[in-house]
Amino acid sequence: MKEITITIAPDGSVITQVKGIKGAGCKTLTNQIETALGRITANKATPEMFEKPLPEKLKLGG
Amino acid sequence: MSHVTVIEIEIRDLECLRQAAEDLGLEFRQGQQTFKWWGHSVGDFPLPEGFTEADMGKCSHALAVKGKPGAYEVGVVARRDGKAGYILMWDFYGGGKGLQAAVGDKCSKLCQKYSEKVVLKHAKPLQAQGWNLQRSAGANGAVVIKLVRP
Repeated sequence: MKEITITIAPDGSVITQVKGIKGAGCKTLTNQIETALGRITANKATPEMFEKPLPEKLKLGG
Repeated sequence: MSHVTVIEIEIRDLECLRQAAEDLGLEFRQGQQTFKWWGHSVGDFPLPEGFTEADMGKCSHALAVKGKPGAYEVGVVARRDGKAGYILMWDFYGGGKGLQAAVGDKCSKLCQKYSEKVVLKHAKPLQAQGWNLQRSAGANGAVVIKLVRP
């Protein structure tokens, strides 16, 4: 399951969290939303980001 | 989990601001060059970077509370700190004669609603790719938007 959680605090500031996506693709997914909102004040990569995504053939083949 | 990002909002999208204002019972007055306030600064709060007292009350657009002609207004003012976008200026003394009830303390309700409109707008390409969007109320007044894909 891939999941993006966007929490908008009562003052309008925003935290985005991405789960279940391996590799740097997670950044691409949320980049448009984050850039449109404003200035990024903190950005923390989690271990999953540094895992290589599976090649397409492997994913399709199960 | 892949990454976590914290974002401080900057007002750049006037259409999202207009929608947020409408949801809170405010009218977006395109091109209104002044906003209603007490009219005289007593100097008890610092002005935003690049602004002087003479600039107070001047704006590019304004937000007015519908049905409350006596309420002060929010000025949507082009930034002067070299960054793109706008700042919101308003006179909150005495609740801004009814303005604060609509926009929240420190314009928080308006800013939260604006952020939500921006997120929903820019989530549309993901929804078109099959992501399912869910909106819910979070803890302490937060709004939570989830995009999920199997």
